[in-house]
Amino acid sequence: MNLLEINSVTKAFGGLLAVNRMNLVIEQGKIYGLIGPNGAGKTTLFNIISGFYKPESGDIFFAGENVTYLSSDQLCHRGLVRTFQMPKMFPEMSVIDNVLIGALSRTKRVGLARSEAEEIINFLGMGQKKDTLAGSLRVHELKRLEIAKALATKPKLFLLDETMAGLNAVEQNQMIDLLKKVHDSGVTLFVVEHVMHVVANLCEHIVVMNYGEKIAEGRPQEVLKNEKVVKVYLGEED
Amino acid sequence: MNKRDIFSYKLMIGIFTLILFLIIPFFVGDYLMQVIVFAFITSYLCGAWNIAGGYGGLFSFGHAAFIGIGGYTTAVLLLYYGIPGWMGMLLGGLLSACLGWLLSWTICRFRIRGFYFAIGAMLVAELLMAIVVRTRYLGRGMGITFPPIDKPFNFQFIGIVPYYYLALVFVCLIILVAYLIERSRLGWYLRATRQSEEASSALGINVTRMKVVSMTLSAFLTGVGGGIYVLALRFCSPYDVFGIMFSVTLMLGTLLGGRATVFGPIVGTFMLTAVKEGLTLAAEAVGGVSSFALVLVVWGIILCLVAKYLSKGIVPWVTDKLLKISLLKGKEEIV
Amino acid sequence: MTLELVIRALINGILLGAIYGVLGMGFSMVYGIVKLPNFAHGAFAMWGMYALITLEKYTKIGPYPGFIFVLLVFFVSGLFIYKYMFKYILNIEHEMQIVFCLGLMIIFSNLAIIFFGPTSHLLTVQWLEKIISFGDIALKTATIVGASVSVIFVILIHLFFAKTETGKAIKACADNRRGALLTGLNVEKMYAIAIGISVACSGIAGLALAPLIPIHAGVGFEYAILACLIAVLGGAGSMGGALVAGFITGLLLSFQQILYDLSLAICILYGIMLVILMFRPTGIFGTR
Repeated sequence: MNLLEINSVTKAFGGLLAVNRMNLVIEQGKIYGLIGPNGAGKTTLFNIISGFYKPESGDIFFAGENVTYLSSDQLCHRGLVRTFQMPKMFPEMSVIDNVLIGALSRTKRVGLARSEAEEIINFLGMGQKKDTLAGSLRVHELKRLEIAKALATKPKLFLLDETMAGLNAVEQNQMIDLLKKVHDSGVTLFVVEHVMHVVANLCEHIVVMNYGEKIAEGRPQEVLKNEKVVKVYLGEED
Repeated sequence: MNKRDIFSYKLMIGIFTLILFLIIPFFVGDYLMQVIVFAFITSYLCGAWNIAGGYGGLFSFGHAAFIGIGGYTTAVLLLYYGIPGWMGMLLGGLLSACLGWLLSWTICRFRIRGFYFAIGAMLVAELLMAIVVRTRYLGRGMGITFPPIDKPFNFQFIGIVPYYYLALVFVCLIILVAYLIERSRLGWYLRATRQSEEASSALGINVTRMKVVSMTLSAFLTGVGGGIYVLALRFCSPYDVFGIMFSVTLMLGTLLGGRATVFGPIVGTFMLTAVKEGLTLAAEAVGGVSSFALVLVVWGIILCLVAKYLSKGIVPWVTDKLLKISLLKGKEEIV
Repeated sequence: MTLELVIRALINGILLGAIYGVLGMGFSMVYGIVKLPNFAHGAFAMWGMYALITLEKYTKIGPYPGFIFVLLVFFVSGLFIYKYMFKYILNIEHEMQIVFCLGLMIIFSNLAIIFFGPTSHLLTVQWLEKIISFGDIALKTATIVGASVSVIFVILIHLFFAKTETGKAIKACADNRRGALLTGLNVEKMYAIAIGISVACSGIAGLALAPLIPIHAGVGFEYAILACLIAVLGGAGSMGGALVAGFITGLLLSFQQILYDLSLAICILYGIMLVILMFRPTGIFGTR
């Protein structure tokens, strides 16, 4: 079954069409990528899917259910969760407490949630920092925490918004391995990225947006050689 | 020493204090008894405020509205219709809860924040006061006076001692409620909501529901507290129960003691009471100065100082210092 | 409801409105320029009233000639209040700012009780008690004088902000604090002056209202709330809005006072304000 179906979704801000009749299908089990130049509407699309914006028209189906007008917390319960480009965490709580909040979406029992949180922290290699205050973490650790929190909600579909931003080459490779590990545990990933080699390395299927519209879609090898795509990036070759 | 040890320390101190308080009435005179009883009731009310203002992050400047509703419901039902005090208190609590629910839902729906929320809350209390002052049925500005009757089933007692134990029960109750909240999923969700609404939403927390629940619960408990207050005072005056100073007392006590802590409201209230009694003694000794006004001036100063320098409150400050000392000690041992 | 009642309510409302307008303007000034919700604003009005009483009882200068001196004192007090108090709370939590100002108001109100006692005073000045009649419509001189003084002050303030260098500089600080700093404006001084003027506004409102109402320490809180309400109605931060809102409030209260009584009028006013807070908290000319 298709996990996520986006049908003709349009979002306008005043006179500006940020997303224009977007159609997209995401199948369970794969890693999808979303690329496009700045201002193409990628984050806006993410915001619409994850319940922060409501589209002007079109609808979105998740696991067969119409979720177009649901809020982000309702979506989280159904298994759709996202991370933010600028990590949003709870600065005055420790790492494990941050993840605990995520785990609490699946169980009322605090003790049980805490042990699940601990498992996830170890799974993602953050065991050392478990009691550190989130507000004092460094960027790449924050990104890891973002993922940990979201993972604790046991998602089916995981939307990741520019996870690589602000990471150096070593950290990026670590992150790629991490994401592959997350995917292997059974989560479908939908990733927005600017860094081309990451997208090529990680994703099985890529969607390209420009000016709010989809201009290409397919496997990385095909898409990245597509004329339209290359033009859009003004001849950026990898 | 770690967090768990500090907790056991606190528990021990708490139990010790409780035993102490149980035997106090045998050793203490009437005036001091009055002071302690109302300190207990105010502690309870601060604790109730804390659920919305501290844990819930909804800093309410108008909680007197709930005290007033609870107080008047109890007074009217008891004195006009013979309905027992405890029933009146519960009904008063329910009515307050309704108002609390309505208010918090409105705040969330219309996104009323910060200053607008503050003035709105104050306005609600003032409006209720203005309405009561005009209503003959409710005693207008003169308020409702309770005759000195002894009917324990109604929660009407002649002496102060029964109210003492009643108030003590209330304090223990609010401590229990706060403790349970802190440990529950609700408590964690409220903490998360206070720190980041967006992050909370993304993790499945219905922020609106959190706010509504905390405000409604707080309103209920405050309303019930209003009932016991007027019963113990045997007087229900609109300028008192709906007054801004009552709202301020709840805020000040909790702020001073520590928002979103179990014992903060109680510690804060007792400190303020100590200051108040001390100043009253001093003013009477010097003579010629209105002790009432002097106390309020000092409270105003405390309010300003706390707002600027100690907005976390005393209990967290002390806990922090204790933790730091223990961490330092720990380091020394390793070295 | 006779015609002359309506006309009387109308004129009274406009006159009162001018006074309320100046009160609200002071609040909006601080909220708009320094971004501080000065809940103690009404307390200064109260002190203005007490100042007049002191002048009247203990000095040879009548209260009104003396009021210029009072205004200067208020302006300077405002400068000090900024320098030694408000400056330090600009960066604390928003709720704590409100708490702080509330604390100030409690201090001021109760200091008034300590110095002047808890009972009400009435300001009686001979020539203000006279009633001027236009046909069948009677107005207290006090109201007319109060309103005139307020209007003059409002015009002066407008000229200050629109025409003088300092005034324009202050507006610049309000619009863009960082930009103002970068262009070398002494933002601290600008803020201080703004607050000085605001306190003077409150003082003027107090002076104007003094002959009209019984003066007691609770007045501080009442007018603090009223100032907030007027400012919110007009759009907190908008001085022009506050002025308009002042007139609206004055008319509202005046009509209701004549139709029923003051206490009901206040109930209705509060009720209306609550509804406005819900549906349009940014007020009429809201900027935030």
